Order: sequence, then C-alpha cells, then structure tokens
Amino acid sequence: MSAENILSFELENAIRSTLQTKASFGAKGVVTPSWQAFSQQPAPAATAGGIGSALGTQIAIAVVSIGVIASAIVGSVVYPRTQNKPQQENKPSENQVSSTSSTTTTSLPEETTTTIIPPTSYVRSKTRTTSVPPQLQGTTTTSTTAVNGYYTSWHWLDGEFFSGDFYGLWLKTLTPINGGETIQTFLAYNYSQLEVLWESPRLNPAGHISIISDAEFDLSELVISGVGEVQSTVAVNFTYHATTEIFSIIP
Amino acid sequence: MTTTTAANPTLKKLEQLYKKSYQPLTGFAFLFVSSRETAEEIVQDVFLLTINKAKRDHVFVIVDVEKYIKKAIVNRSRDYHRKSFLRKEKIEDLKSSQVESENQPTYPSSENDSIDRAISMLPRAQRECIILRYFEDMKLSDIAETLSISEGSVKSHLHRASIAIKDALNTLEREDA
Repeated sequence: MSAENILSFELENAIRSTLQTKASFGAKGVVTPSWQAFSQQPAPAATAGGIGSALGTQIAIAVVSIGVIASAIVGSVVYPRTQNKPQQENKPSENQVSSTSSTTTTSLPEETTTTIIPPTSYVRSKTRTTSVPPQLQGTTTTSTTAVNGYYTSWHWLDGEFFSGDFYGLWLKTLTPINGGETIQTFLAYNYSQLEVLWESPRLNPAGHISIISDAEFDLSELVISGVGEVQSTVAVNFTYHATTEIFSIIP
Repeated sequence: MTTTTAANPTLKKLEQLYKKSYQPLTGFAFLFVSSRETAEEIVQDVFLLTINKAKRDHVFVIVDVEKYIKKAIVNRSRDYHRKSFLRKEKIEDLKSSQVESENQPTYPSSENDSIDRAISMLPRAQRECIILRYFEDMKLSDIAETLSISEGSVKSHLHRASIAIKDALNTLEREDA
C-alpha cells in the first residue's frame, strides 16, 4: 500500500467530510465585496517600465541548481546537514530575454528590470521592476538584529532548498546583449510576495563566491563559498551559514 | 505603466475567479487559519496584491489563476501563523488575540470533531498536505507544486500525517472513554 493511501477508505472519507464541513462553515455568511472595490485600489508606487527600462540591462535569471553542502546556524545551535541533490533546472529561453544595452552594476541597483524564470510553482514569465527597499541600500551594517523582521530559518526538506518557507536563494546571470562580461549575483527571492528582496554584489567571472556582507539585513550573515559555472544552467556547490533572523519587507 | 482590465487578460481571469470563487476560497483559507475574519483578510490581500501586480505589469501572465491564488493563500496563511507566533510572545498581544478569538464565531462540534482536532494537531506541513489532498483532491504532483516541495516530501508528510491522525484518534478515543 502506498504511503498516501495508508488511511483507510472510511477514514479518508471522514477527513474529506470534516474538511468540507469546516470550509463551509468558514465561508458561511461571507459576503463577496464588490470587484470595483479591488480593481479601483491604487497600485503601489513601484511602476514597471521606469528606470529599469532606462538602465537597459539585459538580465536573465538562472534558477540555482543546488548541490548543497551546507550547515545552518539556528541561534547558537549548529545543525549540520549534508545534501547533494540537484534541485531544478530552468533554462532561460530567448524570448524571455529583452533589453537594449549592457549596463551592469557592482552595487545594489535601485531599480532593475528583470525577466524572471520563476520556480516550477509559477508557470509564467514576467518583466518587472524591482525597487530595492531603502533599508537594503547604502552602507553595510554588522547588526544581526532584523530591522523589521520575524524569525525564520534556512532549511532543507528532503533535499530541497528552502528558507523559512518564503524565501529562495537564486543565482542570477546577467548577460549583456552586446557581448561583454557575463556576471552573476545572488538574490534572495520572496516566493509569496514575488519580490526580489536583496541582491548580492557581483560575483567574479569565474564564479568563485566570496563573503557577501553588504546587505543591511541578516542575509549579511550569509557566507557562500563554492564554484558556479557561467552557463544557462548553473550548478553551484556552496556552503553557507545563516542566522535565524532574516529581514522582511513585509509590513 | 498601468494597463486596463481589457489590456491584461490576467485581470479578466482574476475578476472571473473572484466573482465565482470568493466564498469557496475564504472557506479554503479558513481551513488553514480557523478564523473567518483572517481567512477573508488573506483572500482579499492575495487578490489585491495580484491585481495590483497585474495592473502595473502588463506582461504579468498567470497561466492558471486559481492554482496561483490558492498557492498564494497557503503562503499567506503561513505568514499569518508566523506573525501570530511572534505576536503571542508579548503578553499584551496575547491578551488581545484572546479577546479577538472570543469574538470569532465558534466552529461547532460535530461527530467529526475528533478528526478536526487530530488534523489541527498536525505539524503545519503535514496539515497542509492533508488539506490539499483530501479537500482539494490534488494529485501528489500538484500538492508538491503548490507547497514548493518535492513529491517525495509530500508522500512523506502524508504518511506521517496518516500515522499521527490514527494515533491522535486512538488517544482521543481513550480519553473520551
């Protein structure tokens, strides 16, 4: 008997019935607000096609295929875990890359137009403008206290890389449209908000990753070392340490 | 750049889903948070966020809007639990949350109450798998996609949840006896 069918038929039905009853109770009496109330809500300040287009940076993101050798620091307790399992591979297609020139940055960009090839859970492509929160710009800090955060932790589940269930660490490959040096950066991605929270300084062309320490939140504690290949499909082995606190832009 | 509803097919899909499924989606969210107000808030937040993204990004395309919204609801529910956990670290907030919960309509006891209690006692990941499996009738692959975990993880969670539910039911039976 397969694991998912370990429950007896009767118990499965009872569970279904219970959940349906509970959901019905939760939906009972709920009045659907007018669609206009939603559609007329003002959009957030960040708008697409602004500075990002002016920068003209062609950016493709290769989702990190992770063979992970990692240990996570949770509070003062160290939980070493060893994984070596590729997670996923997404190759950027040509029609998902668009830009006009080859501007690259070595510091946190204020706004960047990106073409995101999202995790498998989001089957879509989009060009968007990301505003880096003011807290993430500027100088470094050594503080390990989340400015406006809540507790979370980086962890793995059966070999897959997760971080607090909401965040993912991606490797971004920037390929100038007119040729030139391809550069890579890491970015922290919030799955639930579909937001890029933080982007590391550029990595060196060989893909050797040094200490990343100029983000003003707890990813500043991130230490990555390893080798990545500059290809559309990137395999990265890395070791990292992360605190249990992570900055969140979610109010 | 702002686009109109007519210009962005995603907005039209969102409108259709909203009008058709707002209540069921609230019920779906209720399974995760057990609070009608919170469930409504989550559903509204998810729609509002998605609508605004579709408005300001004309190439924001969602292939399966319902799946996308449900995944967002699951994520938002996790966010709610995480924030609730931190809130309850403060006594004042704990008191206020108690007052809030007292004002909530109580979920009635029924013959399935023990099953509901058993499910409620499950760890979050297991509970999510159970809900998606037995309420949404999702395939393992769909559950894995919704929760951003592997199918192996889903099987593992369902297996552990099955054992936990059986154990909990046995315990509750003994207590009732």
